Amino acid sequence: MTNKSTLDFIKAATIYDFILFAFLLILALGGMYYLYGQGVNNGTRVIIEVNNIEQINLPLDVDKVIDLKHLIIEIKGKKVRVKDADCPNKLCVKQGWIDRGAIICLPNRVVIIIKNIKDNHKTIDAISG
Amino acid sequence: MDTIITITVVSPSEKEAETAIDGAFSELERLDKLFSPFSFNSEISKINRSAGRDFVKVSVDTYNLVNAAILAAQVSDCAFEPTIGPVSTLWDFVNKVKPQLPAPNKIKERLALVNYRDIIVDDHDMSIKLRTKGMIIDPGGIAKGFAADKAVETLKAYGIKAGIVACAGDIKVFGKKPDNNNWLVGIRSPRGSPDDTTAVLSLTDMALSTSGDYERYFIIDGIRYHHILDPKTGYCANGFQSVTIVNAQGVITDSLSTAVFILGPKKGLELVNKMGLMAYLVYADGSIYITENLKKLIIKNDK
Repeated sequence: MTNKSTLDFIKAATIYDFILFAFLLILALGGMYYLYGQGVNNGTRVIIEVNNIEQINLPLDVDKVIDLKHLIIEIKGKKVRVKDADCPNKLCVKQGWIDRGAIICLPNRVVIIIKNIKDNHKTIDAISG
Repeated sequence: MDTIITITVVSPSEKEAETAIDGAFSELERLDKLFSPFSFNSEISKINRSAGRDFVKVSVDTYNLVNAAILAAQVSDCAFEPTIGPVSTLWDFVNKVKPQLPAPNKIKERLALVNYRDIIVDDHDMSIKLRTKGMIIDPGGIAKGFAADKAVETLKAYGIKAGIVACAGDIKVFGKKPDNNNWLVGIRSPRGSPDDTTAVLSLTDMALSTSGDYERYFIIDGIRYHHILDPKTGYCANGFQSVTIVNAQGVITDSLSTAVFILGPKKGLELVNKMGLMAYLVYADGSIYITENLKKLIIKNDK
């Protein structure tokens, strides 16, 4: 039944109906894409510092593998880990996945920080009273 | 200054930051040596010891401080009183175990010595004399704000573009944070713990002072006696829990937060409006008034 009526609709539709349909489809997908971008990009960043200098600044919500030669960092599912490192004790690798705070690799002088920019706004610098 | 001072600076170099912070702290130490009524050799102590007798030649900083204090007394109709010393020394807020009220006749007697008009300033010679023996200048209500201004000046002279100087309740911020945001300064909630804030302000190039009845006080028979003394009565003023004033100058916020507190809700607000100050007032019953010009700087209001 459904198939038949859909078929009837397609048969009866004019070129303008298709243009309208295509337009609505683009509008809907565009809106979804827009909202998705807004919703997911909530301001949480992964900041990688080497020798105390910020080298890499990435969103936490985009999966990625970063190869820093001495260590390989993986961002996945809004979490970060050091996948592999060439340091002897591999403490940073043992720390596993984190979704807040920082991983510090002393031998390679690498600091990986998860920074919520919105939270950062709320940190008070001083209190009077 | 018997108070906790913190200095924060923004700088590309740790060394530059440390040099500047050291410089600002030595400036604060220098001012403390000039102003502290508790140190025998301070210029304020010398003026107090010479009361009724001699003029004391003072440094430009003490001269400026005393003049600022006189001005604050003038604009606040004597609510801010730099010569409250004879009365404030009667109150002991340190002994909390067995607090004692000063004898009423003693307070009355000492009030006769409280009058800023009896501070004689010789502008030509930069020297100061108190007219009557027994008079005492108490710089407590203005020295910290003055010092915060001077410490910020020092940091700027070292090339620092942004930072915070916090002398307990007197805070001065300048420039912006590394992320280009304003500094966030909380106002302590008067009946909460020291970390509880009643509001958070977003500030740049601004000073802020809070006078609160919770800073130094004792309680006898359920009545709170605190350190903000009304120079007309010799007893503490009771119209507010706390008064916060925001202005470009720390010397103004420090002295006038005290003045507004003492003037009470009605006259205090008149002073705020007359001087165009930004104010956050917590009345004795806990209710809050915020001036229009301050509302836009408040990013969080907890109550």
